[in-house]
Amino acid sequence: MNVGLLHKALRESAFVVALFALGLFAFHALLTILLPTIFDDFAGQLLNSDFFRNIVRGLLGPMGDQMGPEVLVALPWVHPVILALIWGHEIAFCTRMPAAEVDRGTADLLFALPVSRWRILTTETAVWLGTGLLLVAAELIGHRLGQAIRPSQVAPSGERLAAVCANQLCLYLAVGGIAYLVSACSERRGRAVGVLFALVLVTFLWHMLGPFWPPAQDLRFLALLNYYRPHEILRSEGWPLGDMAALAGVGVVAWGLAGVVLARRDLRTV
Amino acid sequence: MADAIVTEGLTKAYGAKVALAPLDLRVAEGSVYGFLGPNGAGKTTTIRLLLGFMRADRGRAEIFGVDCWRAGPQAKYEVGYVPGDLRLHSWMNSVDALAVFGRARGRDMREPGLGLAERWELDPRVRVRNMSRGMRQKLGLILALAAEPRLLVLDEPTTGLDPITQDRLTTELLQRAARGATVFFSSHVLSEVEDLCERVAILRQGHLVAEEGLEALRRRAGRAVMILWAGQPPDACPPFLAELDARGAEWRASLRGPVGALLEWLRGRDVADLEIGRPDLDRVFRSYYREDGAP
Repeated sequence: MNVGLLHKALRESAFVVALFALGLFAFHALLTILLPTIFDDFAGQLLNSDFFRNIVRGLLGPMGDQMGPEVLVALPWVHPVILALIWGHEIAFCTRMPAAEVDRGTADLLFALPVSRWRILTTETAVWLGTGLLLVAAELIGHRLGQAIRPSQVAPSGERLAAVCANQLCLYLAVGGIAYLVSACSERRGRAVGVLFALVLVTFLWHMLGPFWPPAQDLRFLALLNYYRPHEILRSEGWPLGDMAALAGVGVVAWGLAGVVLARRDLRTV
Repeated sequence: MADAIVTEGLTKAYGAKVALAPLDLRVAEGSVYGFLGPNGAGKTTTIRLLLGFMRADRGRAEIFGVDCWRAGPQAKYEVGYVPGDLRLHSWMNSVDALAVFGRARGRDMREPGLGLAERWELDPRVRVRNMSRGMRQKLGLILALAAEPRLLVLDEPTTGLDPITQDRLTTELLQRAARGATVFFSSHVLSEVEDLCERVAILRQGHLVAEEGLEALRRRAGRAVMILWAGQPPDACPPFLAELDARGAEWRASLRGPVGALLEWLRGRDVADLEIGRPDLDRVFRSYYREDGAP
């Protein structure tokens, strides 16, 4: 890592990361408080609706016919707004370097420094990983606050919540690794953001489509969200090591490829 | 003296377009070297290859004996660089920029940088987003100079600078060169190179068309001459006056050769006025820049 570039990355991202963390904290707390209330009021209608049940299955993965109280605890962790906030942060952060640096022309000063491209990437990655921990921690605090205000029927243990957070961090790693790879191949930030937005949208919709359309169900293993299963974690006792390994594997391989591409590519003026 | 920059057969193409034909250059350490050429000649491509931004298709480039691509960070450790199209991070002011880039380089750039900012009248608290183009250029130069590098690679560095700052920059660069630093100065403006550089390379369409000392160029360059005849002009023009433009009693021509020959020829002739200009390097450079290119 490079201290100067670490300082730069922190300065450039601190405010936006704080906003995302605040958003995640507030939204997660809100969902944890509101979902049980909504469910209490509309349980009959909702549980009788196939569409609603399929939406929940789309978000949480296969769960059989029984929808237990864990569903209400798990839903905030997979809520589209929560995922959009985390992925939005990742796409914004990971396309800062090199795509945005090349795009706005500041790459010339950055890459003229006596610092290897791998080291630049590693420094940026350290900050990105740190912000990931911060965002998941913000969610966790929001969840705890929500639970304190409106306790649910099931209160997940600290270990279960830790397993959910770990699974989410692995998802964060996978999306960020892919984001770095796209960024490393791009000279325009807008293009990189567009490609990544399309990718996460497709993976989300593909995952959501499963309960509605059987062929999509068969190919659900292709969607990253298939390996992020908070509901199953909360119901079970073990850690989702296979899912975590799959997500972390995708992230590490994509990040490694990003490093190779960055180290070998020409940095031209745009 | 050792070479600060060496390129051998350095070649780069963008698709089918050859940006740089095999380029062989040697820039001696401690020299001020002008790198000239019209837009699109390959100057910036050469610089980007030197800084390891791009990989050469063939050939090699070295800075202080270190390969620019294979050992990029090591090669750049002693390099201060100002890009041709300088862009800085908008949130930075001079203090931030010196702190960030100083830490990244592992050097304290604050003190020398702020000293330069004071001498060049740049308010260190103004953020880049609020700076004029000239102020940003000053900051870019300060960032390159404050690290006290052994080699300065400056790609059209006077863009946006006022004449006073241009003069200050020239003085600063000459002082650095006197202390042993090497300056690699890319430009398409002859006058700024003429005041600064000892040796120049001229590039055209990716090819090196000339590489020699400015003194040698001056010796070969013609001098603009104006002769105002008091009486009837002579019938014939001597061979050392080229490109004669005779308008009545006023002759304008380019003197090729020593001034003494002209003065000898004028002896005894009825001359009302005589002007002999400095060696006309501009004409030499323009001739190199042309397609058919030789002076």
